[in-house]
Amino acid sequence: MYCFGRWDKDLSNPISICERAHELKNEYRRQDIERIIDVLDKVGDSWSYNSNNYQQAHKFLETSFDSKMNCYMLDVLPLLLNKSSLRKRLQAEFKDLNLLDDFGVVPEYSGEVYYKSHGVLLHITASNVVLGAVDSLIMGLITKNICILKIDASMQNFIKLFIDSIIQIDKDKVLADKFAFFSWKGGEHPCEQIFKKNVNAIIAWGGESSVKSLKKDLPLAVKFIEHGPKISFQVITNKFLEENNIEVVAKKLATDICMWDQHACANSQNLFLQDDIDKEWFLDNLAKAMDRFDIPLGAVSSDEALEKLKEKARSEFLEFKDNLPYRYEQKFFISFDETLHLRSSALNRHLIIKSFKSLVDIVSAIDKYDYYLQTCGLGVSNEEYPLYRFELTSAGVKRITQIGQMLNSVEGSSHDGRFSLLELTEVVCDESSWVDYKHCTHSFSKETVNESIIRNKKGIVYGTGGTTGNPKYVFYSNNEFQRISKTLANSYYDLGLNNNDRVLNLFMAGNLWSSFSAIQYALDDLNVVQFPLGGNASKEQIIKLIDDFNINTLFGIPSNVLELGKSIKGKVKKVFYAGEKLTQKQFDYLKNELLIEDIFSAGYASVDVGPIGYQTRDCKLNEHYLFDNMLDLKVIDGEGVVTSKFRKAMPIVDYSTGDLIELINDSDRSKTKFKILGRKDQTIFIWSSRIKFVEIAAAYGAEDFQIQIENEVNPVMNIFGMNQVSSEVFIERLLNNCADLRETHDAEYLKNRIKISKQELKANKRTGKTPKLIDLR
Amino acid sequence: MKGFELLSSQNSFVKDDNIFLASFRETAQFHYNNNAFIKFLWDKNAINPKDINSVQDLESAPYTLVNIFKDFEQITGPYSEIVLTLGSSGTSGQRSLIHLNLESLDNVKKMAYKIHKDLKIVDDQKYNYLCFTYDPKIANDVGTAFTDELLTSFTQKNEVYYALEFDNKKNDFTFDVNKVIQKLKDYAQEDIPVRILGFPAFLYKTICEMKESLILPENSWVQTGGGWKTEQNLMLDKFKFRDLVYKKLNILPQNNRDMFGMVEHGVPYLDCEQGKMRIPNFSRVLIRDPKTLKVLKDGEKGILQLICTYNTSYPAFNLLTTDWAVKNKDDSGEYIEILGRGGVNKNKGCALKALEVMRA
Repeated sequence: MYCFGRWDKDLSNPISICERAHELKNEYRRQDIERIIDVLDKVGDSWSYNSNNYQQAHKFLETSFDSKMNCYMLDVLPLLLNKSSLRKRLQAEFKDLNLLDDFGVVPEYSGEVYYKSHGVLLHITASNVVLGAVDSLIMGLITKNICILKIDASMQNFIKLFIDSIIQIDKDKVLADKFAFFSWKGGEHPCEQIFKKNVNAIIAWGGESSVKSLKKDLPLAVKFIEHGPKISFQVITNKFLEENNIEVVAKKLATDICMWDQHACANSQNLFLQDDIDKEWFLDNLAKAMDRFDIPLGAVSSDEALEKLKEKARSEFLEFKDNLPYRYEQKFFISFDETLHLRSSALNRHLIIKSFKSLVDIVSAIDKYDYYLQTCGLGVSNEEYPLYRFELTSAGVKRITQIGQMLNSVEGSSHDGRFSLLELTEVVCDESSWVDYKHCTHSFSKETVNESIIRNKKGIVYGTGGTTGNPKYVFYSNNEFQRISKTLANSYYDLGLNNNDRVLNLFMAGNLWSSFSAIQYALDDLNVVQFPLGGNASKEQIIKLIDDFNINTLFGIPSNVLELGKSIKGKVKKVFYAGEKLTQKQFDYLKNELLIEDIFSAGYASVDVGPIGYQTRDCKLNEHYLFDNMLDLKVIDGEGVVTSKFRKAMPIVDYSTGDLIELINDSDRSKTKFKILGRKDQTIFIWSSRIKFVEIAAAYGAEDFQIQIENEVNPVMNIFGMNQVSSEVFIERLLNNCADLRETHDAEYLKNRIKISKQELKANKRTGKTPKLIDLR
Repeated sequence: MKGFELLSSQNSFVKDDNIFLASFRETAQFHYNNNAFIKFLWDKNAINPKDINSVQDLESAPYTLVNIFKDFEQITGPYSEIVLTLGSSGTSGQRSLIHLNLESLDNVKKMAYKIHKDLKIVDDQKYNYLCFTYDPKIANDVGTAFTDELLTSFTQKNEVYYALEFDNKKNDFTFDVNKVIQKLKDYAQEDIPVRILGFPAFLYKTICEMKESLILPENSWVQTGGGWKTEQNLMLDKFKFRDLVYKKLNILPQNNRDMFGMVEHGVPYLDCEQGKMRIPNFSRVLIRDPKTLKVLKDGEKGILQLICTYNTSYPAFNLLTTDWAVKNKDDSGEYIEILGRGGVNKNKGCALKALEVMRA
């Protein structure tokens, strides 16, 4: 017997074994999951085809299988241990492997989550199935449980070989001393009762009586995970056979029946055959395929042979009574049943065929066996597929495959309707939204980002230079960014984005800019068809795409959308914008001239903070609701100041947004509504005066304008826009609005220094944005 | 059936193949003529009852497997002739239904009497009976209850007490061990010998509960039957059981006889004094390998096949069972040893999840 790093002669003291197991559990929980996977991967390598272990194993494999089947079994072992396979299995269930190591963020959830092992896990494995025992152990180890494995005596030699391979590889004892294995006769040995009461969880693989016996008198605190008796079946319809070659079909069916000699719970034992299919013809073809199956049937015990004999007698009577055919051969046995009711076959390649008229017949035959149902290999037409799948799973089938694939499980699939690895852990939540003050620097330098990368290991870096200013970088962990995109997706869904929409993403891609990616990830979550074109495409290219694919929704900067003009009239129905303020005039133009029905903000956000606000249908222009589950917002001296509740990679605490915010008192006090008034830093320093953009806007009489300042020595202010206003009127109004200017200069001074030009606004070619200010000094 | 009449007139334990084979041919022919399934079976194997002329030929005679009686109702001849229908006690969940016409019922009673007489179990004396079986007034369709009622007819009866009483409140049979112990104590006070019949597990439980031994009157007997059923974990070696019963109840080991029987096959296989289940001349026994169906030699373990000739109303005259057994022979004749129920417990567990991993 092997006990946490030591070979022992016998099972002497189960209580002290359990005590030792409990001592080890926290140490193992602190072990890095990647390290565990790495060790197992190396162990798998040592079991590759024709390796020393592989060859030795043939001597020790005491199975009933033919030697060719044993080879297949040994081929599976390295696949089970392979790094990629283990990661896929873990990721499919846990999404983020790091959550097995420590708390972390998950999408849609405001708190943090950690998948903690149960602690000490007792495995009761089925007799005579050595690979099942090994996989059970693997599952326990990759979920960081200390494992006590009970095996059948016939497996001992093989398991010893396997453990030796672990010891040889795992010199650092990452997991080599985290498990034990013993052998005792099930149910009778007193040690089983002791183990049952002194572990944290039990995983039981076995038949009904074995599972029931284990469950009996189990303490409430011990979690019981059973994989009890299961049955699987196939379905073949007439339409399917019309569309598929019978020989190919028969070969696939034979695989589902013959592989592993029907010892697996996913092997088909029954086949529902639509009744207008010729029975003899079908039987002949299936018999041929099973006869030709390339792996011989293994040893059949006398008791198993007797089961086949019983079924044969039954078939003989049915042949007499109902003229039902059968084929009884040494290698295989196929019989027809007189009733639809699902029942176990004699196994060892015995299939029971049942005739059905319609799907309702199958459902009524199986639905009382809900617990026992496992896999269904569906041989139905494409048209029939959705209904069959729905009805059969409603009746209790836990897994649907194509025929021929019943024994080929995709990594990460559930088993018996549950996720096996998740069941071997507890989900622990931390609902406190603690802020990581220690790592909160609000410095978006490369140094800060590098530190964050080292701490968090994986994520994504975005950056911006802004239209002016120095570049800044920001790091998001993958979980954080996923959460952001899901949150955005939810807001778009609430605004009516749905599976009828074809969405063109015109935000600028690349260059470390975040908008394009964030929108693309968000749209991934919605049932839309998206066209990730990017903002660099030409107008002609964009319009052609809209026409060719009936695109009805645009995401982009207002400038880019407006530039498309009348060519999108009547075609595009929804616009989601961000990156620039949309003016009322622009809004009206889109609505009234271009007939856009829905015009919404794609989210008020910045690359450093992430999304801050979203719109709903009741929001007016520039109004947003706060993403309350992600941020806190304060308004200090008119400026929005935010704290992130979930950013840990680069914490954001009391961060000044630089935007002027006005809170809106709404009737719904559960949500924070606000209006963006403009940039706090929208002030020009010119002619020794400070002039605010809002003062210029008021003088100009519209928000759609652009300021260009040239001549460093003797600055001249050019105002571009389409509004009709004379320089004299503009200067008069400006002096009236801006006290600082009025106190410094008069109209005479300004008349040659301020020029109003009626012209289109100039966009920044690189960013596509139309900046408010172009300062050429 | 004349053949059976002739068999009945012989000593049960003197083997006469000619008489048996003649009786077999007659019975087989009757079923062949009156049971379409039997005709189908024999025709499919291209064999006729007339072809069975030696013990060797018996090996080729088509048999019926006992489970088809559990799965499908079987009858030879019309229902109108049926006078009694018995069911097996069904530990596996399914029951065989065996239909007896008057001739078959008479034959089975005659045969049972003859066998017991030839084993010197029949007695004119009066006995008190303790039956560890279901009260036949309630369980009148259960084979074991029928058997025990039949067995009480081989002597005169003083009192017959059925230990498995029907509880109306629970709507089920119950076993009160204290009541039974008291009954034994009452019987021990009388001069009338006692015969204890029925399931051995109940007798064993009773004996274990007794605080003191009892001395039952001389010439008391035990005749167990029906097997240990769901109490296989209690099962004792036959000879240890005999010793225990002798110690606790003073019943001589040679008066402690076990019986093997099946409701589908009415021939009783009783222990002789030496504790060996003798094969009477009313039947022939073959042991088969379930994989090859080859008939095995004496001493080899295999599946029990039972051949008889008494019944004309259900086609179990050539019955392959699902019990493991061994056949042997000594100076007194052939005997069988039953080794347990064969087959596999269905509803196998989820054993091979790992084998579903996709292969590269």
